[in-house]
Amino acid sequence: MSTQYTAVIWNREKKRYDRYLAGLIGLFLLAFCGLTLALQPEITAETLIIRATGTTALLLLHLTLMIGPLCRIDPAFLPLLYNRRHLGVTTFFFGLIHGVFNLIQFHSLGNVNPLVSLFTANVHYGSLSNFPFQVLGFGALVILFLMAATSHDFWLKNLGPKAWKTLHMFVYLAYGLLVMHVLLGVAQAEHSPVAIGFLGMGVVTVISLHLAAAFFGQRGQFTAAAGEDFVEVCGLADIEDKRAKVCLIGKENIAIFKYDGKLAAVSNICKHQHGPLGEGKIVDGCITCPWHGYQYLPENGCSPPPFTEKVSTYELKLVGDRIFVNPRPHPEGTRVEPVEIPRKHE
Amino acid sequence: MESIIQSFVTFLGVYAAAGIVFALPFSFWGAPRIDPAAKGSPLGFRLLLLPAATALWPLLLIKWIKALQT
Repeated sequence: MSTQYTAVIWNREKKRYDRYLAGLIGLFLLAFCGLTLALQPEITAETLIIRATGTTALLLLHLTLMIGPLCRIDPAFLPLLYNRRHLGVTTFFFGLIHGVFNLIQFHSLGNVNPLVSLFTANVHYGSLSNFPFQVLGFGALVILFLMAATSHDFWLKNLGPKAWKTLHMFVYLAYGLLVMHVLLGVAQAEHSPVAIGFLGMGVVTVISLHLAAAFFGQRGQFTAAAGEDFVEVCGLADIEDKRAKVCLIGKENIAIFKYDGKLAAVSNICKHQHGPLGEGKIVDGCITCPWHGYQYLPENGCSPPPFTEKVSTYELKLVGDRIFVNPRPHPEGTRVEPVEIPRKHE
Repeated sequence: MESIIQSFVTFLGVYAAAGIVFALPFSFWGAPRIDPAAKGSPLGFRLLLLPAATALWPLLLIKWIKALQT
């Protein structure tokens, strides 16, 4: 959250994360290049760069896609989520180096425009096994470019969260294109069972994590009884202090927070990137989004000044130790008096 | 097939060239116009806007014109 834009918001945590990222990428590149040179000493420098950067980009994309579901399964992974943007931009840069070196090595030595050559070097567009895999890689790189280029908060705000999120969901299309790019590339050129095996492991891991997150991360769904304004959601003991219980009632996605002997309910959807507020916690008296740290006051859903973001608030009531919520939202930023928890229940 | 691809690549080139011409003035004058929080932002931020401004220039041109009319 800031009132003026800067190029990159770096804090101590992000710098540490980026150092780890750079170190791990360096180690991977060293290992990959060392192993390749040992197994294929005749390999040219250009081919080695193409393979190393392409493999790194694919590995980083796998990691990027695994972070979301991992966080839904276990909040211990949330620090990775806060820094995912840098991982995504790094993925694009490795993909770009891979693409540029490919263009130079395979498509720029004739008298045909390299991009035209990319699309016409293999014209078996009607064949599944001989389909030009380079075109699939180009498509994925375009998507990764659009995502990296629009990753700054300026674009999120000015394209609108919905359009921005939709654009960034195309990462799954990019992933599918890249998997096919590698599969066809290996099948047509290398026939390497090791590469297919690693790719298969990656795909299975990504899909399994998404399925596991859908299963374990499922939110409580409730239905309002006819004629009743309030819906029983959970007991007091079901919510940890400074944490929330998330519930879906009809179309309302609600986060009920317990803090300082009180209860308050707000929309579960952060105004920044539609992050899950209910998976965050109360920090310095504010609900803090787990994705990028956007904050809201629990009693009125407003970001603390000078920030201007607001989310909807909801009425709560406590009957014994059971919590009830009225799923009709108040307009964003409306103050709703928090429910006091009697001392005997604290 | 080749003529279609040639036309597509030419279109991409023209689109990108127009985007590059648009992106620089957008970063310095358009962005603060459509979003006041961009006023007085550092050079690094403005340079960071260039790639997306190049890619999305028709959309941003419309936004800029709308902002000028209000």
